[in-house]
Amino acid sequence: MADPTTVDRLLPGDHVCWTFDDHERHLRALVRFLRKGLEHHQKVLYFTDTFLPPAFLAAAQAYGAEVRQPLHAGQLHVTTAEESFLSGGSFEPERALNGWTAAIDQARTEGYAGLRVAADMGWTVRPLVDMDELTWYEAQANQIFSAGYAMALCCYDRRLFTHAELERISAAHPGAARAGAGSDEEWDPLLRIRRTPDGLSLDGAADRTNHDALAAVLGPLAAEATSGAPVVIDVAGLAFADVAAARLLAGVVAAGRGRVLLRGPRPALTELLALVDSLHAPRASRDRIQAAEGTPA
Amino acid sequence: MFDQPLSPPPAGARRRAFTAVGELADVRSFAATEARAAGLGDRKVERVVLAVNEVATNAFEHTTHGCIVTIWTLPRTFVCQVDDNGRFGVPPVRRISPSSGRGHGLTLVDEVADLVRRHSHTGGTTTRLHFDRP
Repeated sequence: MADPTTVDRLLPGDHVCWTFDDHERHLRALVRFLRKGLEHHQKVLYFTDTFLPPAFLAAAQAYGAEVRQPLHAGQLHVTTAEESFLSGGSFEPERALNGWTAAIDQARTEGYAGLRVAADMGWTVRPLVDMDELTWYEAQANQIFSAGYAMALCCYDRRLFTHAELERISAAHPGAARAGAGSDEEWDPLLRIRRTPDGLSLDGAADRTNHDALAAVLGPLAAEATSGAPVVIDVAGLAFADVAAARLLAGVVAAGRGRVLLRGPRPALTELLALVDSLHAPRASRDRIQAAEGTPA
Repeated sequence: MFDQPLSPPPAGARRRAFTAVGELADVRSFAATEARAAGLGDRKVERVVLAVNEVATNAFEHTTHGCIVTIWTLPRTFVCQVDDNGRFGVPPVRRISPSSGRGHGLTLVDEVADLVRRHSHTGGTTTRLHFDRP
């Protein structure tokens, strides 16, 4: 499982798939996470599917986190995942997403510096939760968290999901802390997606492991740009993009009809975007690029 | 000329096995380190990383046991080989439709590498990427 220290690396705006297979280390990670939030005057919400809330709070107190005053003040809320995600009797992704927006608004109104959410996702294995709906929900959630006020730690028990399911779920998050993450070297989310005053910024790497998160955030940008001000995607910090990520970027730029702009692409991305473009173009232009690159026939 | 057996990698080749798509960052790091050590320039290193990442991604998506990446250098060539345990359905080159996202990835590999050779055999598919080195 991911090392408990990995949770220290989350920043406001991050949305991370965090896997565990050991309740002791899961508990240690959660306590670190909530403690840091309390110290930074953030509101902290934990939706548990692992512990009974009173048992978790007692354990957190025993681990040295002072939880009584924050609970009393409303800075800390611990409730069961079932009571929140399944409160309507079934999982309704749209309602859950609206719930995050409301929680963010409330934390802001209450004057907190940010919102820190940890959610155990074991409840999703129940028959009333559909895997397609879950991955759609996780991908869409990036639109909310990338605003930069809230951070979310989605805790997935590896024992409850198949590898294929976890890979799909992970891909809906910009970053995932998998087995072994943070034990040998420092871990950071692979990609950081943030809303900026004029659009969006991407920092890190975009590959198969976070493709669906990127797609969900880039998807609406073209419509946003054509109905409002132009949108700038700052890719200066995008150190690596695979072909599928480059195609997403090229797609949103094309759909924006001149109103979606890429700022600061590195030379490798510029070259890749030209290649992606040429593969859609007639054969003649591909030959020209090959000739220009000097590659052997 | 297509899909011929390839000569085995030399004894001194560096080899690493990767089992899950979550290790793609490690695949990239391995390829980049070796490419730099072979004296390739920054832009060439980036092409190596892009190409290896695409072939490895395809292996993770379409086969069950991940892939083995083997890297060696020849006097004029940097070679990076990806072995998976799956097979391309129709020889010699593609297992999936070029109209899908990943198909584009593999098409693009042919553009960024200086030479690509693929061989499907009973144990899976070997993709050997060649890059000119100074």
